[in-house]
Parts: sequence; structure tokens; C-alpha cells
Amino acid sequence: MNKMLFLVLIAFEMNAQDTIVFPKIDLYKRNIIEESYGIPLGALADKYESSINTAFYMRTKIAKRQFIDFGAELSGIVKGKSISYKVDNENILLEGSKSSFLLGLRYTRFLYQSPNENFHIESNSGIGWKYLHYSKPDGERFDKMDLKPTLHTIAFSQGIKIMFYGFGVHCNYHYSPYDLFNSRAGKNFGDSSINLGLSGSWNF
Amino acid sequence: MKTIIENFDSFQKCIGRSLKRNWPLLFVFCIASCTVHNQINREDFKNIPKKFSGKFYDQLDTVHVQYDNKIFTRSFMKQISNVDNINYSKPIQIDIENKELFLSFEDTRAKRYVLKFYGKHYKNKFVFHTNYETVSFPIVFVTKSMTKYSIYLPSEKEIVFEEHNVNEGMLLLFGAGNSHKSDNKFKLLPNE
Repeated sequence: MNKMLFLVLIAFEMNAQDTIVFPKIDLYKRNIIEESYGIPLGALADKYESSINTAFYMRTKIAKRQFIDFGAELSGIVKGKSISYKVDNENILLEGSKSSFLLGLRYTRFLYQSPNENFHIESNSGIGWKYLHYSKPDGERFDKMDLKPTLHTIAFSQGIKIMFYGFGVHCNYHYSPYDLFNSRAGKNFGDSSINLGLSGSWNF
Repeated sequence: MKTIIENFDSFQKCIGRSLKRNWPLLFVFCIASCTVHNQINREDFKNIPKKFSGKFYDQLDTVHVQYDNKIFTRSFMKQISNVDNINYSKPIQIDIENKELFLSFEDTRAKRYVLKFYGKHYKNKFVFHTNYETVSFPIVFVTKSMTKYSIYLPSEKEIVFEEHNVNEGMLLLFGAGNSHKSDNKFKLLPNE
């Protein structure tokens, strides 16, 4: 019995085979583009009717199914309404806003990923800097004033996205209190908006 | 001298005016660039089937570095597997099964090696990566380090392994990069 075992062991060694398995590389999509339609909620609904947003993010993996997206979002405001802005103890009327910009990062977590990695549902929680742009009105008396009436604030966002083969739909809620750092546009300016749209992602 | 200065002033004003009028076009010219894309037309290459088997002979090249007086040997299988004593008189076996690639060869001591890679079919080739690391925070810090191999079949009797290696990085507005592509072409042995 022992001799048999010995012979079998020698046979295995002579036909030795080394299988080297190279690790599977995670080919997650690193560039993300989002197009969405934004709807202001609450008090912000008096300031503009809607917005068209374009966002570009780049993704970095930090752990299994967890990523950090860093990027920016540019919004075109549709039908911005005039607001009154306080400067030097007088109220001036500013023309409605036409653009808004967000720069920030998001923490993304894959809530569900299919086994062949073509379908996933992710949640995005973000923090960033957002500003709503108002232009200085034309006129001689304004040329002399040092006036930059854009409203800057911090923004928090929470969204959910469903992606299939690199294309998908998303829905994002933004909380950006515009009156937090700037009281000249009045208290209770508005802070909430929701974005619904399409998203595409690819690798570079 | 005075006439030259006067002429220069009006020249400056003229340039200023034309810049203000045409700045969108000039901006587009500044960000657009000419590059040569896709020099080789790969559309006529044969499709790599989902299950593929083949054999080819690899070859050991001796490379002499001119200014350094160094001599070293190089071959495709040696580069990918890092094994020094491959037996080049025996053919290398390649098997593709859906998303897995197996490369088998023997070394001079009759020890058999099997390399297993995970990849996927893309268009008419089989693509696998051995390294793909990126950190992307645009403008702040971006790095990319990637090694990708694509397997093509230019005809029934040939197989090409294309290696694409990229290393690049950018911090604020300063960046540097290095990338190269190399093709390794082998003749497929006819099936017995």
C-alpha cells in the first residue's frame, strides 16, 4: 500500500502543472455623464420654473462596490423670475437667473449588482458647492457699485440611479440653502430641488 | 519712429476689435486638435469565436541595447508570464472559453504552466487586462495605469496579441504620460 502511494506521488510530481490565475480586473465605468430636468420645490419654485442640467463625474473605487465621484454640474435655468436684492439699504430688482453651477463629490454605493456586472442600482450621496448666478443689472448707477449678486451655498444631494449596460435613469434630490450665507436676497429664499434624467457611463 | 508707434497703436486696436468679434471661433481652435486615429483598418479581421483553440510557436529574441552594451532576451510569453526557461520548441496552446483565456506552455524541465486570464469578447477581438488602476479627481489629481491585451485573428492562419500600456498622471494643471502599443504576430499551426 505504501509502495503504491509512493509511486502515485512520483507520477504526480513528474506531470506537475502550475496554474497561474491572473486576478480579475474590475472594469467599472469611470466617466459618467448625466442629463436631467430639474424641478424646484417649495420656496425655490417662485424663483425659477425649471432647469436643464448637465453633469460630468469621474469615478474612483475606494472599496468593494463603493466609489467616490468627483465632478461638476452646469444648469441652464428656464424662466427665472426677478428677485429683489438688498444692497446699501435699498432694494434693487435683479433679472431672473439664467445659470447655476455645482462642483462637488459624491459617495456612491452599489445597492445591487447583477452577477455579470451589466446591471446595477446605486445610491449617490453628495456634498458640494453650488451657486445660482444673477447678473449685475445694466445702468450707470450699477456700474459704480461693487456688486456681485450671485448666491453661493453648500449643497447636499441624495439620489438613486439604475444602470443597464452603461445607460440608465436617475433621480436626485438637492438641498442647497441659498439664504444660508447670503441674506441679501431675503429670508426663506428656497433650498430644495429634484432632478430626474438619463445617465451614461463609459471607460477611458 | 512716431509713425511706427502710431501705426502700431491702430494695429493693436484692430487686433483687439477682431478678437472681440471672433473669440468663440478662436476658442474652438484653441481647444480642438488634430490627431491621427485608427491607422490600421481592422474591420476585415476574422471574428474570434466564443470557444477558440489554437497552437503557435513563440520565439525568443535577443535584444542588444546599443549605447549600454547590454544584451537581454525577450519573448511575448516570457513577458506575460515572467518565466525564464520556456521551452520554445514546443508550441504554446491557447484556449478561449467565453470569458476565460488559457495559455499553456512547457518549460525546459518539462513542467507545464497554464496561465488563466479573465477577459471578454469586444467587437471582433478578445480583450483582457492585467492592470487597470485609476484615481480620478479631475483637475485636482488624476492618474491612470493600465495594461491591456487584445487578441485578433487577421486571417485563419494568424493570431495577433496587441499590448497597450498606459501610464499617465495629472496634478492641478501639470501632467505627464507615457503609453505604447505593440503587436505580437504569430502563425497558427494547422489543426491536425
